[in-house]
Amino acid sequence: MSIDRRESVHPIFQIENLSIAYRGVVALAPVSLNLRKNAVTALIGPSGCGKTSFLTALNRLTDMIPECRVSGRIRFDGSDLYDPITNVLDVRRRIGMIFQNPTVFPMSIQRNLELPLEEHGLKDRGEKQKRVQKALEDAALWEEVKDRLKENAQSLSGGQQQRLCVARSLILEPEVILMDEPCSALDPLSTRKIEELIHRLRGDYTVIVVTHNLAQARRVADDVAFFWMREQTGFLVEAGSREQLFAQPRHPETQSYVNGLEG
Amino acid sequence: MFDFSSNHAGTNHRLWTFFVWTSGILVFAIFGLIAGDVVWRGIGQINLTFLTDSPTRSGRAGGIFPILISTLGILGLCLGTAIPLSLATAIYLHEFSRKNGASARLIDRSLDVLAGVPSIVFGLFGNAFFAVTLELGFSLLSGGLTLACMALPLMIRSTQQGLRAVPDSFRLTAASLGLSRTSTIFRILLPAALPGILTGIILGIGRALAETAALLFTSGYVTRMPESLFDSGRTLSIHIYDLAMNVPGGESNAYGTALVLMILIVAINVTAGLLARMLLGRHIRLSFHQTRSLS
Ligand SMILES: Nc1ncnc2c1ncn2[C@@H]1O[C@H](COP(=O)(O)OP(=O)(O)OP(=O)(O)O)[C@@H](O)[C@H]1O
Ligand SMILES: [Mg+2]
Repeated sequence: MSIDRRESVHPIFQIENLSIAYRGVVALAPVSLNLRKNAVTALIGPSGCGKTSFLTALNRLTDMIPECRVSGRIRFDGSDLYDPITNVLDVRRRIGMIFQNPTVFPMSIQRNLELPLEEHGLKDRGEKQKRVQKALEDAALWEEVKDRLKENAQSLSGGQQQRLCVARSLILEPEVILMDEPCSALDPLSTRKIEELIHRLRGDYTVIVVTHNLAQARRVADDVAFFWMREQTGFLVEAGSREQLFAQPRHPETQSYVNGLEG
Repeated sequence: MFDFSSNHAGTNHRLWTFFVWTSGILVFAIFGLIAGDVVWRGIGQINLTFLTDSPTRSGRAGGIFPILISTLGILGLCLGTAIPLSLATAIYLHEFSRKNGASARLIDRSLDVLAGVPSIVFGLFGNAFFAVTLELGFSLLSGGLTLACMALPLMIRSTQQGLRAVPDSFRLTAASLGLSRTSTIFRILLPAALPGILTGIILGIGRALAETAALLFTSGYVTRMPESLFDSGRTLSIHIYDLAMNVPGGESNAYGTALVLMILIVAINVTAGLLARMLLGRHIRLSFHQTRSLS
């Protein structure tokens, strides 16, 4: 299934028959889908339908889970993501990820940001400094932390930590940012800041965001993919532009989910 | 059936309180008695010359300088080998080997057995292997390596526990940032596991400083100043043992030495504690944070 006519506009991910199993039990039935470059795609669907599994297959974080098997094919920017010669570390630099619960490392705010930079070969102090400031500004955190960069990152509030995580992804200048329910642990104000952030990222970055909040999907997404599950196996029901999926869903499941939960 | 209205609960409660308090007091009293005894009888022996002189007349007179040096030498050797080995093993077991894989299980099992082996057996092994087979003879080297074998299981276990305490989200987040396995281990996991690692080192030091049996067969018990790591030398614990058991009239210096040993152990513990607090204030806050966000 591919997103509405617009697939011709540079899909950054071309996914063919992607299927995911844990210990031989299929969690996600084969999914075929194109994801548009520099657009915001929201993944919605009930709990356990495989949204997180799908998302983590996109940056090969699934490699970290020994009992997880991924089959099918994902082309990222034209080349096979699961090709043995693919440099996974580089792929993960190009595809950032924000988790549901922000994980900042127990070190200073500045070190949190410099660590991935150094890992990817940037040693110049002045340049690091510049990138740190830019990333924090892009994540709308600079004003709040500019005087306490040396403080432990874990002293930040939950919302600030999540924005630090965003900054830490942005500092690597990725092309794609995957977000797994980035606001579900946050208060409404912090949620709004993250949503504004997603708005600002649109056009320059490809954002793929899992959310349980349909209103949020309506607010931030260009495209929406709707997953459902039957007998413990998740599958993609349909995908399309936000207008199409919310106003004229093709499938009854989509209709009832979209309307039922809106109610 | 519980009957809360009866006096039972009250009596029980008082009984328990009594028991808990007396146990506490008893433990403290035993510690106080031992420490007090050592301090009381040892304090008179300690002065600068006791620390800087060589023993004379089999240790009845003179000081303990060469013995202090041998002790530190053996301890240094023990830690110098045991720390890197235990880190490497724990990292392998916890971060690389497949959980419940054959090799991990084998190593795990061996560690449990090793931890329960009496030190005298380590002494025999150390003598046969380091002193004889590797031709290191009775030397600080043989002694230090034997102690390293003894401290290894303790230190590996503590490091494993330290690594286990690091949330998986750290590993996933590090991976999502494109950090290599090596960077993740050295820059994120080991610093976060430091509390466990330090605990292991302190336990290891304690075990090494307390050891006598294993060292009699390996580092020997000459009181001479060791000139190299291939020389034999006597540790504080062996000195105490020898003075107390084999040297009539050596008692007062045995107590002096015991006091030095106690001060050394306390000093190492306090230093480690301060170091830990300095390095790890942040980790304590970390676990607090996580507990809080769970509730
Ligand atoms: N590490 C794992 N080991 C075994 N099974 C797993 C693992 N991770 C996920 N699963 C299973 O895969 C299925 C899909 O899980 P997934 O986390 O992808 O769902 P989700 O759509 O993200 O759900 P939620 O909305 O609750 O986050 C579930 O049945 C889950 O139990
Ligand atoms: Mg999920």
